Amino acid sequence: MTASPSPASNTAPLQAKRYLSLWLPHWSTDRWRQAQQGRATKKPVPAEAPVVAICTAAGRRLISAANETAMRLGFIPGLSLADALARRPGLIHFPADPMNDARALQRLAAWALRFSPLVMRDGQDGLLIDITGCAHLWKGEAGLRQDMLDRLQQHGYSCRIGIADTIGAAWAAARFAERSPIMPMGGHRKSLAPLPIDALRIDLATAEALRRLGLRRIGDLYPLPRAAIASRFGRPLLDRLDQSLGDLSEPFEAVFAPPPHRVSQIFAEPIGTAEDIRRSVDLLAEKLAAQLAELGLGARRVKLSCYRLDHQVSEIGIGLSLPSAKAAHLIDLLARKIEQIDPGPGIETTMLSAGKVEALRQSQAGLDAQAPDNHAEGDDVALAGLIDRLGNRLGVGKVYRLAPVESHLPERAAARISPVRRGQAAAWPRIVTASTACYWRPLRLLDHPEPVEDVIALVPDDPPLQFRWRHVLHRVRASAGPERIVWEWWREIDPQSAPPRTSPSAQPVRDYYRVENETGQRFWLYRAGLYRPEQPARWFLHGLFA
Amino acid sequence: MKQADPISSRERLTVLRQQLAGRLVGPSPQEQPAPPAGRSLRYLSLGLPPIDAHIGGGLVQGALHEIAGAGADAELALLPAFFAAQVMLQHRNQRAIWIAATPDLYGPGLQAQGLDPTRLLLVESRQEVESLWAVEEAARSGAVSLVIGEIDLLDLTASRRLQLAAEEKNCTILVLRRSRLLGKGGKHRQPSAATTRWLISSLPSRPIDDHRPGLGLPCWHLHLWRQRNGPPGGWDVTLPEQPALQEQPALQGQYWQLRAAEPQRRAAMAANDDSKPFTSKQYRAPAG
Repeated sequence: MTASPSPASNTAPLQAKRYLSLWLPHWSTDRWRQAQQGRATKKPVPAEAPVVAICTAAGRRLISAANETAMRLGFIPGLSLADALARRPGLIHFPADPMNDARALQRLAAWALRFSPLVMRDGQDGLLIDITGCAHLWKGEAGLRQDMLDRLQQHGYSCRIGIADTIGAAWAAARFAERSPIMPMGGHRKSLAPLPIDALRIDLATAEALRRLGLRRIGDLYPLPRAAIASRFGRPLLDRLDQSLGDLSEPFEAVFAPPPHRVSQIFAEPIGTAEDIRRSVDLLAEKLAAQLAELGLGARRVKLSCYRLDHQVSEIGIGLSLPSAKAAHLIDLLARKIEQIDPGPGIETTMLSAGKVEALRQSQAGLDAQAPDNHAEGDDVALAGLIDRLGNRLGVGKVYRLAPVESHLPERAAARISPVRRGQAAAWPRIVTASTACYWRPLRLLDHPEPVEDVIALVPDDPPLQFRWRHVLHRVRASAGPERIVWEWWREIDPQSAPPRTSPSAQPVRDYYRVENETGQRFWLYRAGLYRPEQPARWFLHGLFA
Repeated sequence: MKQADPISSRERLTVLRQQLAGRLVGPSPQEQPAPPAGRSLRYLSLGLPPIDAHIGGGLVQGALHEIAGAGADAELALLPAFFAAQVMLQHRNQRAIWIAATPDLYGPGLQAQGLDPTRLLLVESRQEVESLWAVEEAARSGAVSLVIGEIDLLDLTASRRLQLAAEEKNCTILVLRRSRLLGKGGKHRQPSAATTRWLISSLPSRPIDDHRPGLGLPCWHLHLWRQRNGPPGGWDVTLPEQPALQEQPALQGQYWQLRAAEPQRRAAMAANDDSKPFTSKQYRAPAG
């Protein structure tokens, strides 16, 4: 194994990248075995038993993946299950689950963030990690590679890891260079030369054609004129070669965009108590706040990720209504959630990241800019702090303001909006004017109109003389109305959003009455639908007046 | 028991005598203008001069006030909500927060009173404990000057906590008692540290005039049944026939006003003497 060159002897340009390619050759079968072990009821599958995954293609059941033993026995992907069973009747097989394999790979990618923030999924069975500048934390690339190998193999995943300067070279190193999987910096051209041409990530037909010409190793292509390669095998082969050699850049699509603002702390001994986590949060928050403040930014969303010994990540997140770069504020909000962290067997790394940042407004005006009140600006900051504290404990959306909606249906006339930046919301029209002496809307509106019973009305279209609501009989002393409100017909275009016909709110017409009972309680009742002699009127209570 | 040094004990005795004398005589007026040290009392006027005069100028700022609805309103807390809305209407520049476990406050209803619902910060809590926590948190934050909380059970300890929180940042807390269990109202009689405690009942509406039958203007009875350092009282209020049309349209709204007591009603109130301790048995919602 080649040790990584020490920084002193590093002659490569500063932009030199180092990529790690992780290949999990038996990902789906290994994963299946892990799942089997987790189930106590099943009898364990011996590690040496051949196992294959089956998929159905064109009416045939084919092997889609096989473990190492099965591969050695010749049960390679593409073989039909019937053939395989003929050769070995007791062959263990299970239906392939590519979707969950992909999901598990995504989770593995999340776990791999502990090595570097730049992780990319590579096909169905591999990961690609940009480890530029990360290896020194493991005392070199060999240490990092060994650490990753140990951690994965411990859990029964067979894996191969290669490290090189380019994505292509790392890919080749993982899959084809068993003896020297770490290509030294700047040495990938030499290291790639003895590898088979399949290591260039080319399709089988091209590889076969090359082999027929006697070009078996990548090194065989080096002396050939480029124009000849291009005319004989087309552009893709040349591109792949250039990418592997680093002459052509290759896009790296990180699965998780790394939060640009993050600080982390690695512990010599795993921590697990709330006090330790709290101390770590204090430290990290100070660092993060200083980092943000220097850039004139404030965090809107902050996440504390605790990387545990068992490859799990325990996270808590806080949201802020206004960007903040105050450590005390972040600590205050995070400290209230520390108890939600499950430390598991212990936390080895904590990371605080600002997932969403915004420019810090020096004077945080705008919260109440148009308001007639003259509060100091410090109050706005205090209000934002209060909104954050309430929102983080009670839940997002539980702190709100009411904004008007242009709808005359009472239940749709108001909507919740974010508690800050209410300047953006539409203003409530002023209703109280000389012409409309009184505009009556109840102070409280029931979630759903509640049916009332025992309604007695003088004439069917008259307001009721008595009604029973929530088991209490109310005798009506006086009433006013009706106010006719018609269902918004244009909303029925979308049958999904419209309530079913049978629900009270789907009635096309409502006649609302304000009624007062004998003790002075005032209700907002409506009769659903127009009066029809053949069916009794249905009454609902929708709101209550003070 | 160890004998104390005679000289020092004699000195201490003198000091104690002086202190005792001071206690018995009472503090000189310069010495203490009531406990709230270092802050002069300020009041939130209710906009009803006789009531304001009765309670010393209005609701004391930086204090806890408790408002309950009588009878069936204990579950709905409409009348306390109306009271709070009127306080907000009188003091539009106070930044207010409204904390409730049942988020049924209706925006257009507030708007009909003349309030701008967007100015009000609303909080929905899941439990009683969270409501109390949120009220206290809001009061201590210093970010709002009026905290309105719909609370079911407020015992003496909780009310003391809230009173202390209110004093800390001079934030007025209005606790609207709202029973969460149907039919379990009437718990408003728990002891409490609130500065004023109100019980509001609805009265039959007042016809605008004889020629217009039907639903008239709503009326309420405000009963101040407990006041720290002051007598209780009771008043009838109503809404005016025309909403107040101030010169500034921003101040328009349906402000309540005192209702001139009718003779028979006044007699009834005299019978139900204010100075008597109030019990829910004695109290009956006035018949129509």
